[in-house]
Amino acid sequence: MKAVTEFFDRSTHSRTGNQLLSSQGRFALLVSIAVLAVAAPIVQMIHPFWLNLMVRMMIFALLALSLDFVFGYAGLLSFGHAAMFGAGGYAAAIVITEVTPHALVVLPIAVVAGVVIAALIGWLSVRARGIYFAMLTLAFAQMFYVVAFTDLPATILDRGSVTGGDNGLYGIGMYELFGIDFTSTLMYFYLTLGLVALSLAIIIRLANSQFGRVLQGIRENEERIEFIGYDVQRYKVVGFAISGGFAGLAGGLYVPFQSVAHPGLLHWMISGELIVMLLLGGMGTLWGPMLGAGLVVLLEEQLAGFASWEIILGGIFVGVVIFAPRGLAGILISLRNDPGSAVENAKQAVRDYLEAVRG
Amino acid sequence: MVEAIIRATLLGLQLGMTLALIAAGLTLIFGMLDVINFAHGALFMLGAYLGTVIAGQLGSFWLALLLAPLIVGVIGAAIEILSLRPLYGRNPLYHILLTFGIAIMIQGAILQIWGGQSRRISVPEILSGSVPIGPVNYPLYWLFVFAFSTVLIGLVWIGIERSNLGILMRASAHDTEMVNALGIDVSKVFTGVFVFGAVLAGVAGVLLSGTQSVHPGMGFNVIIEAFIIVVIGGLGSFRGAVYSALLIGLVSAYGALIAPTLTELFLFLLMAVVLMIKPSGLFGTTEAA
Amino acid sequence: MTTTTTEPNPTEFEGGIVLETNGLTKKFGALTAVDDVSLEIESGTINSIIGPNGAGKTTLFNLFTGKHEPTSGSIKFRGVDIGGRKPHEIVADGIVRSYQITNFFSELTTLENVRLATQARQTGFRPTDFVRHHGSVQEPIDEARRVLERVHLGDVAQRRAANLSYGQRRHLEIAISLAADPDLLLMDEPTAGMSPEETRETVELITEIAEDVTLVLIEHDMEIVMDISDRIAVMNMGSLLARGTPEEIQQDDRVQEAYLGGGDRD
Repeated sequence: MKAVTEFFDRSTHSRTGNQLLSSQGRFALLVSIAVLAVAAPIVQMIHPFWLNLMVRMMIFALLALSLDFVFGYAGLLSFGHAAMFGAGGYAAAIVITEVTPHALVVLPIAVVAGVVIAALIGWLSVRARGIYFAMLTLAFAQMFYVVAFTDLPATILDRGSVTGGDNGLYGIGMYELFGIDFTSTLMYFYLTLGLVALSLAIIIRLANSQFGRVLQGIRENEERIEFIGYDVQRYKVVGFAISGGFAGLAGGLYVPFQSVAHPGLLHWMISGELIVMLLLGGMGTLWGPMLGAGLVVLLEEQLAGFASWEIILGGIFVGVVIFAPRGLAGILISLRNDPGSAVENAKQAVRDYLEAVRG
Repeated sequence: MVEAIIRATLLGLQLGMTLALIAAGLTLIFGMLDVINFAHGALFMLGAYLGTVIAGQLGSFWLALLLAPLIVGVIGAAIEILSLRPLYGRNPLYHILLTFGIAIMIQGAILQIWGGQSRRISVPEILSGSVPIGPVNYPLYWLFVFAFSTVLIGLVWIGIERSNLGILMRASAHDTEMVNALGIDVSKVFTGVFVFGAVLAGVAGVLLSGTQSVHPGMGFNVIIEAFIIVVIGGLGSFRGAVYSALLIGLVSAYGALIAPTLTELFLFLLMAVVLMIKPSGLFGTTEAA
Repeated sequence: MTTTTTEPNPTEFEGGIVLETNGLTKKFGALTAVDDVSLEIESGTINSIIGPNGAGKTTLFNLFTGKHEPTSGSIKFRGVDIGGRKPHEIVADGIVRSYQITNFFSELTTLENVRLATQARQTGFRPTDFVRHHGSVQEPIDEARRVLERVHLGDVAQRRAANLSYGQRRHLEIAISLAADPDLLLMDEPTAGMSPEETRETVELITEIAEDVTLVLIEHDMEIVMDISDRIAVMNMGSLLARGTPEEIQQDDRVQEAYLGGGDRD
């Protein structure tokens, strides 16, 4: 445990005045993980379905984290992260069915699938910038969607089925590892929690590394970072590939849990929802988007009963963009820094809005 | 075979011209406001639904073609004034996110009001027949859609060339100081351009509701196509949008002839190839001093 | 594209010439921004490029730094053709520029702005560059601090760059470029918009820097140009109008006519 705390607590290294998370922030993350671990069996007893929901929330939190590493942290507007999520998912489905359900084999393959697809998309897209980069990533992701939907590999390889076409691959088996029964939602919860926590630790470490600092520099001022001697395109491709690995991992966790891999995983609506999660949570903070992901999954689940849930979701979204562009993370940070003036800040935001609308 | 090719060509041109109506609005809004309007597809869909409903209630396609785009325009004005206006000057990413949220809201509202089943507009009597073009018997309504869209695009093109709008777009509208110097109220111009784009999308919606079914997923489908068009043409370029819309229309039509399930793949492939060769589109502004 | 891959060989320098252009031309469509410019920059000198706005000075910088590729002609740095090389490669070669407008990482601290530049020289894609915390790699930090001391920004190292005063921002701008360890530093209007006091300080700084770095300045303040330059190049409409020492330039009739005597410089 001490090693873990040390891993998170690098406050002694904030000498550059540029720390991603304060040591309290790191402590809060550790506490959250501990609370989740303790709460899981209790939730299991009271309402098993909630535990299922929590697993999905965590998987999407991982996916949002992977996107934030490039989107919020490096300023690479990926509109195609579903491709890596789906790649990891399909890879896991195929390996589990055809080769082995051993988690230590399947999950790394899901990661590699994400890395490879991301490296390919990244390499093909980095020459374009901003919205053009976004459209290229969207285009490539959509191509993978069509490929899976029409089961093009089956046609090319002259096999009956590879991706299962529009039906997808269903009846995917569960992971095996050290004889643990992962069909138990509680066990799968712990597997997911462990991997999400590990991923978060790795990404925080990456973000604070010299490599991560360059990514941040690219977001802040792409031209200048190039003209002080960095190969910007290479940094982008590598950053994108790393992010893709975590997205692939999320896919690898999602598919066996749902026991189905379908083309919807690759659809751009997933990429779009991810961006909603980032914005809602607070781009570039890493922990904010995870929170946002949990909230979006929860809202969708809870509001799906209402016919008008899309109006509510869209409305929340619009409200956040206009009044709290830094998302939940921004609200929480300003509440912590200056709880007294919260009401005044809110009033000011409304006044600014009315002023702007009047033109 | 010849028949199929002629039919696909006619269909491609018709589809391309109607898509040009949508793409033109998208590119005008980007050129002037620097806003990537993700809600444009939703406005198109709104036009289609309003058109279908009005035509059903009042029994007149022509009234629908007049009224539905106007209502879409009013909604467009509300969107611009109430939500985009406070965001000018912020990171353009927020515009995408905002309009994405609005698109979700419109889609939700349509589902709420009209439900999920698909519908179709009733085409007026005089346009219901078909005409022989060479060996092909072509629906008269589809010809009408093509002609109507072409005339409209032509008028808009001439309008842009002749009016200050074209000059404003070229002079980089983000240089608000310069625009102010021309004695123009920027915020009114912005609202006007957004409304105009919305009206064009509404028109396209009504027109296409006679050739394809109207359903809640059509907004997102069309926004993707419109983005491909605008990106291939070069963001902010009107000329580029029109040419590339025709290109996409034809590729879609021929693609449907060769491999119907892979049409979407062809479109994305086309965009990817264009962007990799010209990273800012065919008619996009190139790097200058 | 050039295919020169040989390392620059110091013995190949002709009379200590660091940078040499031959018939350098850059066209943007119908516009010729830089037109057949041939010049040499001698090692260890302060050089100024003057000329009205739109004369092609900034485009010339963009050619030197690899932002634009030459339409024709060559640029040799220490005897090696650098036309067509990528910006980051040219920085590694030793040519760095500073900007006229504030062009840094405004959300980051002053120290981090400079540290990113010092880090660039020793970091890459080695495993440790992904693993080690940037704050625990001491060398770039120490070096960044030295550079900050040199431009008198040591006291504001931990301040967010966006919160610096105007004069401080301009100094940070220079510091970032210096931190990239240039042999040849291109400075775009380093004193633009400064008060007389700030200008004096900056000129002092420039002469200090010139002790071990070759400088090329774009500058509009004629007093400064005449005061500190060893050599001056005058540009007009993309072409090189005249070259020489400050005295020669002041006495050149063509320059007088086209530029200095022409009243309004801008």
